[in-house]
Amino acid sequence: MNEVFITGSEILIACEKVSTQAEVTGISRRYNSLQFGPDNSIPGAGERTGWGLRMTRNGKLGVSGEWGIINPFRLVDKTIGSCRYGPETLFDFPAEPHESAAPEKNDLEAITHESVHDYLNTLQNKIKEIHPLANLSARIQWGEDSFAILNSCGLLGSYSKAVVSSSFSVTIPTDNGLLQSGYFLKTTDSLPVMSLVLDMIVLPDHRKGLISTGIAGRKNVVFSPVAFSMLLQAVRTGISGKLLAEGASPLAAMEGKQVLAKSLTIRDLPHLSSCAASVPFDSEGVPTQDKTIFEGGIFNGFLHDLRSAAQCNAVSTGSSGRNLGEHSRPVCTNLTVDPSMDGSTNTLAETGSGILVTSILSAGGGNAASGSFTFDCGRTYVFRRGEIQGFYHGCVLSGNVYDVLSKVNTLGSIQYRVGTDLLPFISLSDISVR
Amino acid sequence: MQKYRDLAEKAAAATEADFAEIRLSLTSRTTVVQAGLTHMNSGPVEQFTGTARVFISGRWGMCEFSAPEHMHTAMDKAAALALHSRSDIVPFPTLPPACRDTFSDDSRGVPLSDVPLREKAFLCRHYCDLLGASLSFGSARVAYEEITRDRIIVNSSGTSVREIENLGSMKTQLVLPGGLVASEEISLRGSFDPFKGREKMLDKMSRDLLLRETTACIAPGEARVILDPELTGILIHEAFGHLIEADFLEKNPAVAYLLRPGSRIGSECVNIVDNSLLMDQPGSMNWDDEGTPGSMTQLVSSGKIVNWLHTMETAARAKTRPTGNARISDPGRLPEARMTCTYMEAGTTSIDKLKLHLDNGLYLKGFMGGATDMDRFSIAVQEAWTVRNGVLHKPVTPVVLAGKVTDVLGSILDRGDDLKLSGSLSGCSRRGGSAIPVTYGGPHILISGMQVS
Repeated sequence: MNEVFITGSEILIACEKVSTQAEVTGISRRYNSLQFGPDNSIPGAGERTGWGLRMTRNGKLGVSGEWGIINPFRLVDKTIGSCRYGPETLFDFPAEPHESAAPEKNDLEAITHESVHDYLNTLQNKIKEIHPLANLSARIQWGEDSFAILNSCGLLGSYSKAVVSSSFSVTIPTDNGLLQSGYFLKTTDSLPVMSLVLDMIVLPDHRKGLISTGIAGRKNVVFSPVAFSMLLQAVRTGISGKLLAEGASPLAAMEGKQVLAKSLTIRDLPHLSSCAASVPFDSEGVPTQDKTIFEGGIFNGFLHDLRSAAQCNAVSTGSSGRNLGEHSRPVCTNLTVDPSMDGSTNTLAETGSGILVTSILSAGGGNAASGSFTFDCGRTYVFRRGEIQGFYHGCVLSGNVYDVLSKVNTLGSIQYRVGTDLLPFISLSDISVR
Repeated sequence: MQKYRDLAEKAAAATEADFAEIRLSLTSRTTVVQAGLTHMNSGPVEQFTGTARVFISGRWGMCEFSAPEHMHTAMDKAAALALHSRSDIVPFPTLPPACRDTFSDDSRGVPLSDVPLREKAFLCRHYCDLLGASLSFGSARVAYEEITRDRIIVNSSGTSVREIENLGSMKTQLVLPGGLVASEEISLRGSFDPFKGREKMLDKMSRDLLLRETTACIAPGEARVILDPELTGILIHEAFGHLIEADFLEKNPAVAYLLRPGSRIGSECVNIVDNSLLMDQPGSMNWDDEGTPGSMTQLVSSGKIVNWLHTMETAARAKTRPTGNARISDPGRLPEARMTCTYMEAGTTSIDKLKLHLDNGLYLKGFMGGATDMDRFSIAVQEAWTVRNGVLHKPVTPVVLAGKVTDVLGSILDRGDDLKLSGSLSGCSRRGGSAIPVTYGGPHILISGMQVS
């Protein structure tokens, strides 16, 4: 990282006479990968390095970035250009230096192309034991990400972390069409636990057959963690201080009020160990903090970066996220929903009867400004007395995410990783199903 | 980039592998967003990436590099990975004829990257002001995105091609407090001019939105519908196009059998093509990401399957020729068989005649999003109208269309004479990868029955 700080300092010096404040970020990624298909698997490797520059000039904020071939003077020129049409500054860059976190010990060396190939072969065999015609496609990428930040106010910080990104897709041809399930998750220094992956990508027994009678009405609906993560998209956007600053958040004036069911506690935990989105400070260098966003359904407050905090007369929660060369926005890190402490692991049995949703098709079917959604669930599973009875084509759910999350029947007792979220199964009542 | 191309040619020529390929790319991305009175712009963010891919004794290995001087090390690493791979042995890829050429959008007038940032920022502000002034409440947003890509593909069989692309997109959006949305996107390749002079279109967009403010609900069920060209394009892309990508089909023999060449997938009036040579469209490519020349591929003719979309690898396994559809979503990833500019060909019936045949059905316009699980598809529609005596009558609440591709393509009764193409710079993503630019479209189409909710 010393080398990074030297180059970063040189860029800062180049900015001295042309900016009021300047900030340099450096990102480096080294990885190995394996792409796996039914008759082919392709090992890969790679590295990527990039620099971002943000500066304030004449009261305006400008950003730019470069990956690969870096030319510091061109980077400064582009950022000056960006300042010309940038937003008003509104805030100062932080000044407190961080103690550079020593890289966490990880077990990445134990992961090799051979071990990943064996892992995926075993997974494929386990899936075929359940569905002999199933095909698994997957891509696993593992490596180390490093981030460094320094600014003209004296801030200096860096960290490195191990990340394993795994994406799985299973297709099963059946008499009633093609069944497909997908699952994406990030872990830190180990391959995903196979039994949990199987829970997410092995579909309920399709041999029970198609249910042709209508299921319209208001129903109990159990969302798998993958579907629950999609339902939470509107909440993720709704809790952003940026949306509040734009006057578009449905949670404005709801702080301290009961919004969701009492059984729901939703947290953003950037200090959670072994989680891929954990970071000591955010992309502006503000220290991160674990936050309980909804405690027992009561809304505790918004996530802010420096800009949205300045706009809303609040304090940054250390929630800045941005791609290199882009403006910051408040984002979640490891979003978690507390599991049930006393519930059975079988959410279907707890619920009794209803429908199980394992995936949501509708891209664009949700509205973050209002929380309303219309989701086509493609294929859903009908269950009675906790047992799958069959599946149904073309089920559409609609409602408002804050309404439906205020009617929780039960939560599962196991948290599954979905992307960087940690979510249980959730059973909701009285949802409009068509 | 030319000096890096020379280096890549030497490295590829010197390889001892059965086949080697080097991809180099320099991408520059700029965004300008005007949301109400707030202006945000970023970039240009430049990204250089390189990927070496090597084939030895029936196995592949690949390595991404971020600095040109690491090219040789990456080639060696890719070779080592191929040698130690545990993969099954796969056939040698079907290579297109060797080609050495360069294509640049510069040769077709002033590229949009040469237009100053201030002009783009001013236009976004101007359009946002116009939209804001047309509403006493609600919010307006205009986002402009521009991508310049300099792609080089070199391989050991003598291919060395370079393509310099200028892609631009402008999305305008109005949102009323209740969440009702109107949005319009124009995406193109080459010139900036089509982004100018859109005041009348914006005026119509805001007036239509206000008309839709008081809408009636419709009962969910099956309805006779007309889809506008944008929705036709989305239907073809989401419901059909992803199924005809060969790398998906070869993993799913049952679907491959259903979609074998000669089998019927739709009614007689259904003709679908993928044409990567429409050089003003964001989905176009003179060469794909394996250096195969772009082409027009007939996918469906008179309702019957003609071709699939192929890469060099899938073509080898299917014992056919690559169609120029190999595209990478991210550096370091494998080229996949993907769509470029995919559309349904126009018919001869006017839109007025189509509306007369609609009876008590719905006229559906504009899309909010779409997805497929490769069996069923779902499309969120922006506007829905009842039609009386061939004229738009009343707006109804926005709907979601759902169904199975074989059912829907078989229910197309007629198609209009008004082919129109749309596109997006981030229009198509497959699981785990970044979105790639695509074009989609078609004419208005009349469908006898579709699930609407």
